[in-house]
Amino acid sequence: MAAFEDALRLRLPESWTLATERESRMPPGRPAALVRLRSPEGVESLLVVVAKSLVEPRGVRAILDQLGRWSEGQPVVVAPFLSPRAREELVDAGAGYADATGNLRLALEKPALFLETTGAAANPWPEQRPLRSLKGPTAARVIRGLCDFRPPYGIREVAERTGASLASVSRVVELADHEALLSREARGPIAIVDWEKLIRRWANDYSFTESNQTATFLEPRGFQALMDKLGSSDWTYAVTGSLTASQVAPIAAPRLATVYVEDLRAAADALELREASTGANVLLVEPLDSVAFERTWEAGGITLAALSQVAADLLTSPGRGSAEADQLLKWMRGNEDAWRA
Amino acid sequence: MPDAVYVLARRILLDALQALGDQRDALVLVGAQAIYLHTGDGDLAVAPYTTDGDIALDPSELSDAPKLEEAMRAAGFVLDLQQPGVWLASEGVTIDLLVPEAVGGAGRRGARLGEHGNRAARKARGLEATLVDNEPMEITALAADDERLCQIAVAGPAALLVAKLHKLGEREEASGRSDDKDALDVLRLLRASPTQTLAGRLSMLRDNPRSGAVTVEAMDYLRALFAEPTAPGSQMAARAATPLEDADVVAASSAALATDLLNTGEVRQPQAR
Repeated sequence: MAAFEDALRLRLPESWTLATERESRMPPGRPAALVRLRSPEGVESLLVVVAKSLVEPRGVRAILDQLGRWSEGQPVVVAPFLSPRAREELVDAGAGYADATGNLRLALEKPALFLETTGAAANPWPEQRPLRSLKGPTAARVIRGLCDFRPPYGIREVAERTGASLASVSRVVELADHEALLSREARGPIAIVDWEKLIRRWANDYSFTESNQTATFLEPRGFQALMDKLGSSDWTYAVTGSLTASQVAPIAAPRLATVYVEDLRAAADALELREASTGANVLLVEPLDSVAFERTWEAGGITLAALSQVAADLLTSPGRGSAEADQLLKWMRGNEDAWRA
Repeated sequence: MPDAVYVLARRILLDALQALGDQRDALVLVGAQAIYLHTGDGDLAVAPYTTDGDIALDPSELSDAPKLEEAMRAAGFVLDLQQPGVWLASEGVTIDLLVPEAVGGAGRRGARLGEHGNRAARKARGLEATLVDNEPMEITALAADDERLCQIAVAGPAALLVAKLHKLGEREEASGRSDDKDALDVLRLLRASPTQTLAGRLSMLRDNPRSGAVTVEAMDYLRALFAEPTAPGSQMAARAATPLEDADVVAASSAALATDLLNTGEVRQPQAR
């Protein structure tokens, strides 16, 4: 707020005056301040200023609607950072804006005034936005790391080992900490990860069939024929789902082979699979993040996805998937040494 | 360790092969046990196999002695009173002695086998191909304390496919659940060999005067029964596999492999006469 006043003062001719009434006990949605601008001719304009920590482009209308109900003045939105899209929305809605990176715009008719300066186009403090969902690729990468590697470790080490950015690791860890899925020593490293709860929490947001790109196919000669072809292939893949879970935890005969591949079409061609909508026994999957191909293991010459990945995939698969996931997670509890590094 | 019922079925089969040992050159193992020797357990969750043993006879290779009936009776088999060629062993297992219709002589059911009489073996259409397409294999007992080993000609996958298709095609109208198993055997055979290999063998069978006619008929049955997932044979296979396998997958797989085979140059090519 103070920065906004300073910026205005700096850019206005000296003959203009500026008076601020700060509203100290305003409920949310009300303006943070009313700024009276007076030109040398004595023409006055009222700026209704609202301060936000984050402005989403699609949230602009709601912010201005709230302001409009409150006052007749010229609305101005200030925030630490306003994205180009958010600024566009503000201009379209006739609002002024200012952010701490130097983006500023104010257009008034009476007194006539037009100010526009450009600051940063990208948010210099991206991690300020708290993580709300574990849906995305980075969350997958970090969660897989937190499950697959045994603590203790710090944020930096997790970032190095998973290849995710410090900021991403920090946001996922913050969420997991907040939801009691891991525990940290005071200002120190992560001491314990409750990997099972973390996988189950991940499965609330992640969905095997929706988060990834999938297509169904038929291998008319059955799974053994598919495995023979995978075993002799020289490209990247990882078998997930029931076929992998059944390697360690007994389940009913798998009915669907689910295989991570880098390119759906190329893999379907290489494996000579037929397109199938009904009567499919193979699901090829382009993963939302290449972490699906990391920390794989082998059985009978076939590359299998890491069990932490398989568990999340089964938990969010239709049919018997979640029952199979329970069996797998039970095995993983009893055999942590076998899959956690 | 195989299921007790398989151990028993194999023991009875070896009993019969031993009994007919001196006629070995005339014997070809056909039916479910032959299919199993080619396909193994496969990866269908449904158990393959029946307990009965089917043996085809080539009359032109039969010696006058030993007499089939005498040899079978000496080994403890009892001829069914109603049906020629059905030999009952203890524990309810049967051995069927079969003669391809084209070489079985006159008569409705029993094969006319000269010195061997009319009741020892039954005529069956479609088995002609098994006399042409077969190769010797060694058959061992499945029980640990049974060390018998027997060498016998076993019908090849293409001949077994022709035989199965005749069995299905001739009974299509009266198809009951007992025939569903035969349809699933068709899928097993289609899966067991690469399409090109199977097509090559079928083309050879079609060009052989002994098996040409039944092979052409069999391909017509394949087209009528399996060319679509919704066709009767594909649906029978699906029924036989349910609930252990996904019915749609079984039906679609049967149709896909049948269509592949029918579309090969070897099978499509009209018979040269």
